[in-house]
Amino acid sequence: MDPAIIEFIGEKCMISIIPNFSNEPLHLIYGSVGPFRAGFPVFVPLWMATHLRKQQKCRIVPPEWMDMDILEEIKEEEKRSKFFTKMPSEHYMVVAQLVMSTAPDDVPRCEELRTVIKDIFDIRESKLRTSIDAFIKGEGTYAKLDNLTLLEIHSVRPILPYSLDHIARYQRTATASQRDTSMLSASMAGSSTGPGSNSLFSQ
Amino acid sequence: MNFFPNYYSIEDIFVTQEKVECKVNTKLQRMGFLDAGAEGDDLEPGRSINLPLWYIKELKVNNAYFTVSVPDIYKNVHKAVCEAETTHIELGRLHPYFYEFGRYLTPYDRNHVIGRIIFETMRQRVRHLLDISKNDGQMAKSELRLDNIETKLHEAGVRTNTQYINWLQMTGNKILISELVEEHQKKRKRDRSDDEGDSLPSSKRVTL
Repeated sequence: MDPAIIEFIGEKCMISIIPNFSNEPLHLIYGSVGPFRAGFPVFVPLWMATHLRKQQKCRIVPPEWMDMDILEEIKEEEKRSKFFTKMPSEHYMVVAQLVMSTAPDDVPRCEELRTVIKDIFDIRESKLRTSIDAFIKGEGTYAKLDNLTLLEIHSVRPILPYSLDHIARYQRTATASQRDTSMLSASMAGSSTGPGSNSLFSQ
Repeated sequence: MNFFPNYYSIEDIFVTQEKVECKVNTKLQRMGFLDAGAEGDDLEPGRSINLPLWYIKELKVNNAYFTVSVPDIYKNVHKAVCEAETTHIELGRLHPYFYEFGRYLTPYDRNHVIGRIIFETMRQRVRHLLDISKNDGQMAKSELRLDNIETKLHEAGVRTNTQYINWLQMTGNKILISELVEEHQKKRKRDRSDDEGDSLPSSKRVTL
């Protein structure tokens, strides 16, 4: 999956805007949006928000979580916790990226926020790597990763599933050979002991 | 990227081309040509010869004619795996198809060490692979360190990372010229300059 596709999925998030025009409700395939009244906030999908903002037809109201204190808290929580904490939005990276690149003026302390969000993402990513490592080296057969967002999953795909495929193949070979030889040695135990059988029994 | 060998996969063909040292157990009549150092027409028991893997793997594991001796790389590595960090082994230098070659040889190893080695090595090295795919600048340095399969995984990882970075910098939004068209344009440009180069001396000739 491409980041562009993830962005596309994330663009369906609703976000509040303050339009500077008035219009009838728009009837879209998945529902209606509006009506727009100049100066009154209205919820629209993110893709529409960025589109209107580029045409200077609205102001984007940053989501509640796009706030320095809240994000700092999330960051600390993420550092403290062993597990992944719940993010304020399932597409927090996409929303942040789109809002901050199209409308940096609408977000107070935009640059600082950008850094914090990137920090959070990096912490989570390295945590993901560590837990993958623990999972592969450990004996577990499955791993449960809650609260992971699409973009974070993207960062280990497709390398992780492919590596797991290979590991599984070699594991199968290893166990299969172990089984075959033990069967072989069992059948040979009854008959005469050949020259090579010493090494078989030594296992 | 995702590698499941089949009869036609080129990697599989490469791997099975590899020579394996085998010990001859029975006298094989008129097979002396297999052994370059043989005196007679027959292959005497006790000699070791190198046979390609594709031939060996079609024989039974405990066939009466040949005993496969396990290559040294899987013996030395075993020690290294137990004692040191697997991430420091230069797998590519040991064998370009370390894992696959090992997989084919697994049934012939009577101590069944190989199966465990390749499995453990891969398991230990995945983390390292994930890490190095985060920075793609070191490719030249790591070329010898990775086995063929690992190189492919690494490439996949680097690609993901570049895509992500491009997205972050919003450079992926531009629609790029397709590779084919670009090549064509280059070719046209080249042809044109060639034409000019050709036409120049001819025009000189005319004036001369």
